[in-house]
Amino acid sequence: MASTVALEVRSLRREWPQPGGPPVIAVNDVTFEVHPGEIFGLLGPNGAGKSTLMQMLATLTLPTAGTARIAGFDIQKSPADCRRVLGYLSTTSGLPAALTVRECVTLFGRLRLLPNLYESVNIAIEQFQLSAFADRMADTLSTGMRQRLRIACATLHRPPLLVIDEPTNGLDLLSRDQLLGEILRLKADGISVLYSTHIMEEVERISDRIGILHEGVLRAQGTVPEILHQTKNSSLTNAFLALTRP
Amino acid sequence: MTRGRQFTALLQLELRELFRSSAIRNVLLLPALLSLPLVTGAIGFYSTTFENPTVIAVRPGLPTDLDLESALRDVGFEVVVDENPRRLWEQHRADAAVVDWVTGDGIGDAEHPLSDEVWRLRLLVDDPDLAEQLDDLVENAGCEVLNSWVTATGGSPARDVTVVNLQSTPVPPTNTTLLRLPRYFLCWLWFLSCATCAYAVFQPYAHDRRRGWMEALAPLPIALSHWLIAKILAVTLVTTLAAALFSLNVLPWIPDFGPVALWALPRFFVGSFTMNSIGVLSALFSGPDTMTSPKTTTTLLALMALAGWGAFDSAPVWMPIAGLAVATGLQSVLPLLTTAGTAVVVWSVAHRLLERRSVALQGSGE
Repeated sequence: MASTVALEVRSLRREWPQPGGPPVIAVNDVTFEVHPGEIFGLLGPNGAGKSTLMQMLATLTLPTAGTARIAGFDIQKSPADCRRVLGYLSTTSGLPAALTVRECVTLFGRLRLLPNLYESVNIAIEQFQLSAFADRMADTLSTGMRQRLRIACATLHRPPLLVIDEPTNGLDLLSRDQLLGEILRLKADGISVLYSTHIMEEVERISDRIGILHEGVLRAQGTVPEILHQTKNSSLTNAFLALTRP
Repeated sequence: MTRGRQFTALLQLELRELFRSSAIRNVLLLPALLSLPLVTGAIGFYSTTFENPTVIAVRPGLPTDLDLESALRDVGFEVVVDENPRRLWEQHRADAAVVDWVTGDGIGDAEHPLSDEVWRLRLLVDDPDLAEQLDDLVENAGCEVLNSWVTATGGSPARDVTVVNLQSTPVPPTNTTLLRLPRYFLCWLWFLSCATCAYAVFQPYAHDRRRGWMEALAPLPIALSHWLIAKILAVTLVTTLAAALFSLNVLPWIPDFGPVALWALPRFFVGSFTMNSIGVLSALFSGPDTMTSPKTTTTLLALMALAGWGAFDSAPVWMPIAGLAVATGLQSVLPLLTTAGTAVVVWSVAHRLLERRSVALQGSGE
């Protein structure tokens, strides 16, 4: 099914039932779009609902209400198609420890049923600058290298949309810079990215548009100048604080 | 088909990880090395401690002239008289069975003495040495009787004349304890392989929760689980049925693993199925945040598996109770399976040998 948007989220809502009390609303009527070849930065403090929102998009958690479509596929009606066109990297995504870098990428390619498996694996290893480490065990890599390997695995099947949740957590400045460079390269390859973080500089650097999520509600969305205009602030940090202040 | 390829990839991953990690040494090789002398010792002990006499099952009403029962007992065989000797032989409770006989026309006439059969016995035996021994025995017994007849009628001794037509069933020799030993080990190895595979099959769920790497594929494990549970069910049913069938010799062309198969395999698959099913169901009905820790889950599954295993069929009451006590102290499912499998194999061998001893004692009237 062809679609003009990579991701279309409409009034998405997720409640977590609480015994003996009202449910916790993790995501509350969120609506936004991610266009083809665009990086949409999802900015929010800890507990804002970013991960829950991404889990719903990855079909790991069912929404309580609302809809979302990935490349035209509804996350509830066609979850298998959504998984096929989605690359997803959560904060807890790990790697098979006892496999080499090449074996890891190959495994993901096999799980994705790639037709030209070994060619795709070689290209991915080269693109993510993992060639020198291809025969090293994944658990012996540095944190930054492992994160690059995770992204290589998640995007091996060239998905139209990559959903990536706080990928720079725990990375040093150099590794973070390299990783952001990789994400920009994915964008140049035509992959749309939904990028979640709580670090202002990252979204300012790589995002085409930004959404600020707080207490499950998307408080603002648009380009950085648009958000600054909406909040009448001169910096994104101040705009973020203004939107998330209790 | 596509899920089959994905499942194969995951299984290969798990096996590769298993063989590369210390788990292979700590949870597979060491218990296996421990269980090997245990199995060997148990078989050796029971083989040497109990005399294990050769048991011949016969139908009541053998020709009294031949007096075969006495002839068999005279050479040390245990004779069990039973209405259905074939059943005893098929159940490996007798080494041979005299299932039928035809009385011939007698000793002929004056011109053609001894030209006709006196008796024709149908003997079921799968050990060629034993078949030859019985052949000689029956023939000699027949000759002794005939000689007395011939002498009484003024004829010459008939030692060189075959007077008993012995028909034995041409089946491969499998029914002797020594020949059966490799099959016990084969069964033990088979069990170990199954335990390894079951471990590998189970692991993706634990790995998913423990390391989260599979989240990168979205809920693929959950999508696989429906397929997996159906396959496990099918494999369990088919293998259990096959094990039961070839244990009962219903399908003679299937390799006969002996009684161990009857005891061990269905129990193993019931345990394995229970364990995997609970794992899959837990994965299906638990949210990512509410799944118990892998250690707790594994222990719980091991307990459930052993309880299901022990409760199956006619296991003694103490078995699941003792199993639960043992499993409580174990934190990994594979040593448990290996230990439990070894226990079942040893127990089955002992059970079989004791049963044969009991049958032999009943047959000899002790």
